[in-house]
Amino acid sequence: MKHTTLGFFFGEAAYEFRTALRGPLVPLTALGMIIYVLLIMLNADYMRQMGAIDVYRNSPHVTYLLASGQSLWMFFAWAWLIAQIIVRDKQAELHEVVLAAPISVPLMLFARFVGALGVAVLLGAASFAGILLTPVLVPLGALPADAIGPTPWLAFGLGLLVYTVPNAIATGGIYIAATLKTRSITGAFSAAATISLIWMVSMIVLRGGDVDVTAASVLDPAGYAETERQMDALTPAEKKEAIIAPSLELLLNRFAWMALGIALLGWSLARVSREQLIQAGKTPVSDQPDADTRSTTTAQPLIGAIAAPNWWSATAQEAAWHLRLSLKGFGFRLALVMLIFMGVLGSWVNFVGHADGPLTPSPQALMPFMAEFFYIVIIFVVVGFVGALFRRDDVGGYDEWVDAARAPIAVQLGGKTLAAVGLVGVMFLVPAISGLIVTALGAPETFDLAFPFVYSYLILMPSMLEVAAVSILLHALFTRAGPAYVVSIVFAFIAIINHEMELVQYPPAQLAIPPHADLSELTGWASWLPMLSGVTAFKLVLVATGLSLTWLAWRRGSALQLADRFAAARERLFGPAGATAAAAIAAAVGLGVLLEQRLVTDGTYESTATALDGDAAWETRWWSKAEPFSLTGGEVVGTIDPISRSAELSLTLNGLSGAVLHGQLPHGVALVRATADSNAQSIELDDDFFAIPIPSCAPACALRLDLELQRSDWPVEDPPTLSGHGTWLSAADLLPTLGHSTARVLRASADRRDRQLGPVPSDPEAQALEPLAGVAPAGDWRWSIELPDGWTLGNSGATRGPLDFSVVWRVTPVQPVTTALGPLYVAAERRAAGEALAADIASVASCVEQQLGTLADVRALTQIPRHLGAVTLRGGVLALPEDLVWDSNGTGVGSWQRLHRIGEALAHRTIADTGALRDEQGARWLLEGVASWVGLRCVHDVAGADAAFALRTRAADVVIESFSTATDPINTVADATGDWLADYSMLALNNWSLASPDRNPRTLLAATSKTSDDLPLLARVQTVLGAQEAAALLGEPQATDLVVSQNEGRLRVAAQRWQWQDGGWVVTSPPERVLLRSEQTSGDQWIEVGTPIEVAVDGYVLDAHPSFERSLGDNRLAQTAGS
Amino acid sequence: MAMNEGLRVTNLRKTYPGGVVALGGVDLSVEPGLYGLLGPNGAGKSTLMRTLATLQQPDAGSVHLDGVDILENPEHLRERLGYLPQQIGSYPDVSGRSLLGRFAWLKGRTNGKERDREVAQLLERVNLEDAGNRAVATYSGGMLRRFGIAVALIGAPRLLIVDEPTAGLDPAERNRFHRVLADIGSEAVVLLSTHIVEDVENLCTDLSILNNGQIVASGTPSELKQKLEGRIWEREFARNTPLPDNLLHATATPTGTRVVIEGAAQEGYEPRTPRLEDVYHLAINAPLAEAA
Repeated sequence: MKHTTLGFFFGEAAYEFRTALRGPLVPLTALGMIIYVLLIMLNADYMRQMGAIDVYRNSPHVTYLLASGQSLWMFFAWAWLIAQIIVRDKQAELHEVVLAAPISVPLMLFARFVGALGVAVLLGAASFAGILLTPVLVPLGALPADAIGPTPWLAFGLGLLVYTVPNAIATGGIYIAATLKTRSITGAFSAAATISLIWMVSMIVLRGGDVDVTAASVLDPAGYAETERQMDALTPAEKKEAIIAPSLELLLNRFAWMALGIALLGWSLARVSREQLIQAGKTPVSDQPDADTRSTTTAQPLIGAIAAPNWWSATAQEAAWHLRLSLKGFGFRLALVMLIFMGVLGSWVNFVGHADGPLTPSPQALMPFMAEFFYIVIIFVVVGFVGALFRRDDVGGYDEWVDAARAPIAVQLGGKTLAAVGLVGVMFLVPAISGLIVTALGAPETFDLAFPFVYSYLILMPSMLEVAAVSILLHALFTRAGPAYVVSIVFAFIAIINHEMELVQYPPAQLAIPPHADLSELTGWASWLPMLSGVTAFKLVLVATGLSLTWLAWRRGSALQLADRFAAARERLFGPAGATAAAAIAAAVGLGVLLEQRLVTDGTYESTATALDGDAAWETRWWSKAEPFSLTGGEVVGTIDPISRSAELSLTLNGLSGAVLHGQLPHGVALVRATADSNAQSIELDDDFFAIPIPSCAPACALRLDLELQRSDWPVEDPPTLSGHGTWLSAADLLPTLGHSTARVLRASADRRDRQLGPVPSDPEAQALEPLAGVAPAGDWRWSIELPDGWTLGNSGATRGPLDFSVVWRVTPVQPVTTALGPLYVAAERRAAGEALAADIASVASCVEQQLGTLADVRALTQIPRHLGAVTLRGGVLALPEDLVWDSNGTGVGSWQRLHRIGEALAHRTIADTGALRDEQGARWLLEGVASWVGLRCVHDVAGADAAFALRTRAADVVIESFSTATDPINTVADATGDWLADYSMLALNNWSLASPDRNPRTLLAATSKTSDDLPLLARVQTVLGAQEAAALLGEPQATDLVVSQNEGRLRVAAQRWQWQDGGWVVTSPPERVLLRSEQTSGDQWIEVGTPIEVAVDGYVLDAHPSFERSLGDNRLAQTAGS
Repeated sequence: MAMNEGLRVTNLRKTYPGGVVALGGVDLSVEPGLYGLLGPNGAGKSTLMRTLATLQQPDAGSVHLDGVDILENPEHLRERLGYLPQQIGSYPDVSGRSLLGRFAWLKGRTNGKERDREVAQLLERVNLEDAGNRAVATYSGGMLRRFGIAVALIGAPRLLIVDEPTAGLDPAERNRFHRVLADIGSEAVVLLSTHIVEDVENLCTDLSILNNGQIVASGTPSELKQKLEGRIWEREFARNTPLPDNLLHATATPTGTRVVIEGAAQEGYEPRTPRLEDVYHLAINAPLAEAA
């Protein structure tokens, strides 16, 4: 008997295992999880949020975080799997047969539980499969080789043992109890929702809100809170070899949830009875009362034939019926609520608590995040639910009734399509409501009831309607549901990949991807509406095209063959379906032409390949023709008309000398004429680049350039800067930049090879190159520009630095906040933040002046729209973009970063005005690197050592990531043009300066002053610093990693150094001694590397060498000693 | 009765991929009333039903309803069609009343009040008024067939096509269903496709027998039976006794097998009053079709 019982147990468990594996859920969920993990691996932001900078993407620490974190997704998949144990027999009408068998019901259910548990664990292990597959991203070029470490087999094993198996057992026991209680899947899903809620409370309230971190670790059903707590304390080196520690919190957590799950499982199985399982889980549906209709119709004759149907009404009724049916399910409503919860949670953790935060969740800042956050979820929901809606009638007999019904195809299809649109619309309540909640909680002063809805429905929803249309078309083309679903999901995956990787960049071609719009409280909707309307209309026309093709291809009838379907489509082609398709295609072509005109011909869009081709052609034609030029200053005069988006300007260059003047015109600007001392000069124009021979300018002349600007473009990436709703322009938007630009020379070998270019050419002499920080070299400049009535800022002024200014115009006046530097113009809802910021800005300005010995003129400060570039000081106007300055809530890393950006901008302009920097070797380092360093020093002075430490830590992460993902080759700091230059130089200069107080910004600024022999900048830097120091600072980038460790009660410092060579970090000689810097002592102390040390102070060891420290967290003495 | 009244099917042909001939030139003339279409499984009945219901396109032939070519103008038929398919599955999460209402507007009953009244009347007519608000998925097989006939009757169809309507029904349900069909047959053209001979014998004024895609016999039940007068014989064979090779059909009995043969009298056989069942079996044996 025992043998029989065991045999039954294992047989039933094996059968359940095999049965659970069948069907699409398990493979699709596993596939989705694997792709999700791979996308995470590709996403640097996600990796940064997981503390995975300078750590292999497939490191053990990432494995633990994913293994515990993915449980949140698994809870629902597991609920479905486990509930099948109980509901499957009933759904197949086999429950009576099964329950009549001479078997032990508890034993049977337990055996099935074990079988389903096996599949649940397999499904949970999909994230490990994703990690295992991560190395395939390297040969695809998506990740650099050094981003991948050894396969973390031990972490996989521990992950299974600590997270996947216990979580599956614990939740599985709960699901069994819940399903037995309700005899339906609803019970399991409700339990899953409750478990998720507990997870959120643990993470948001207890851990995120710093209420009780220990309680969060114990309560969290996934074990994620404790894992994250442990991993946050590890250094990058430790993360690469991490083993999850059996802390008391982790043991308590695992034990408590396992005990609960097993107890509920045992209790439920002990009480289960056959009668309980036979009973229906719920009462039959009753969506309409029947008493009235039943009682009134008994004696009436049958209604006769149908005369004149109103098919519009039928379409509406069909749509409402389908939509009601789709929404009435408990699961759908529960999913909506859960998604809103997830949105709130995700925003709080990832947006408000961003590494560059804390951020203020204003609607304009938050909704783009919501769009990203929900993209993957919504696209799969749309594919799944729209498919289910269109397959609803695939039930024996009903499909024939529908096909044989009198209603035209347009009615049936129209009804379902409208229902699908409604369904997609309901899904977009999720980001909108989540956004409203987060804004109401986190930034009530910016609460805007309409914005999240308008954003969701105007910007996001049309792209998902494209997904729905493609899905509908596929269900029309494929007779069988399976292939239609599979191809739909493949389409969704492609869209997701494109969304993440931006493989297709042309906005109208970005199928299933929302248009890009950086909405700002300054620009409002008005400036974006033409572009958004155009792209949205194009998307809707594509949707209409897809639906009309569906109309042509729709199957009506049974046992149809390809010939039948072609014949039907051909017939419909000459009816309303064909006419609709023709109209839609014509509209798509028309709108496509319009978009091409506005975005490409009139606009700034060009593909990467086109841009590279243009630069290659420019280099071939113009690089060798660079001619030195100089001038003494000049004047800009003209008018700007924001309403007509036009301007007429003249740029007069005084004291111009040289043989030929080259320049690059900005977008939309035409060079009408050039006159030198009243004589017209010939102009050679090549696209936007011009050459004006100026033989008469010897030794010098006054050259006047007459310019006309006319814009009719729509914004692609950058916000609109010239419109009747507001204008934010700089000199570079209005005037040509004089000289040759080194940025147009292709640097990547592959790009040059593809375009038959030889080795990278050497730079011409500095005087032929364009100025940095302006459109024309330093001189005696004045500008005066007229604008219509309204409020203007910066439209007139003078400078002795490079020609640069900002012009701001708005229809309505702005009331300023008074600061020590001048009036600060901000939107009304930012006044309080502006007043709080004013004192900090004054302190930073004072610090910059102290660091450099001088400070560029600051006359006014103003808020400018989101994503309109960096914080800049131009023509005395300090421009503060919303995203960089005003999204911070005024505390933490975000507030220190904005102080740094402001200090950097002030230093940038001060350095630029001090010297006559052209785009020569070392100039960017001086301008960007030294400015960033000054900013850091000022953050230290104004906000303290912790703030500077946090900035350095964050900058090190960014630099590491930049080196991993740089597209142009990195050679020396002097040649650098990449985004990493400022952060790297800031860190390297900071380390370099540790050795001596004489190593300060003023010393470096001396290099900008001209010497009598007009040496190149690099030579001047060598003169100031000495050849060795200059080479160390401006040669190949260098990195250091110091680690303080404790061994047998003694502290030791380990050190490594690298130098960047040929695209990778190469180990060099480590330092023999490092500097101990403490806030508690006045002087620094040198420490020998590798020898035991005795220190009694809390401080950091640092490498006083021009390299950047890769991880500052493990440089601290006290932390190590105390751990 | 006008010459163009009723359903006229002429030389209807349909061949599936792979060369399976489902309809090999079917001719039918169906007057108002109940018309039976008998045939074994695979005879082509369902193909014919689906073709007449505009769900399939024939390769050749014509179909006219009341003189209108419905292959050219399928909408004319759909306006007048009631169709009960062979299989009715379990539509999830919807009540019978809701689903009936939906098919009402899909058949053109778009006026809400009229539709509610018609739905209520139909539910009453098929004896489902108490189950109208229950989920269709919870209906028994008989209830599903009755629900199906309610759907088919929406809009008072001129042509009602019912494909294997009584399969799986208990006797009471079957009788109830017959009564409903008989009522309808007084007002419309009802084409009843089945392989249950009794249904046709009890209900239909005319019938055709379809085999291998061709009509092999047509007429009224009495005409068809009359042609076999004096040619049908039966005999009971004990269990384990070899059965003759020339049997027309055989039926199990408590003690053995009752064998029916056609032709001249043979030893041991008793004369048998021809039944439609005999006509059917004789017709589907091609060599004997002429005799029918």
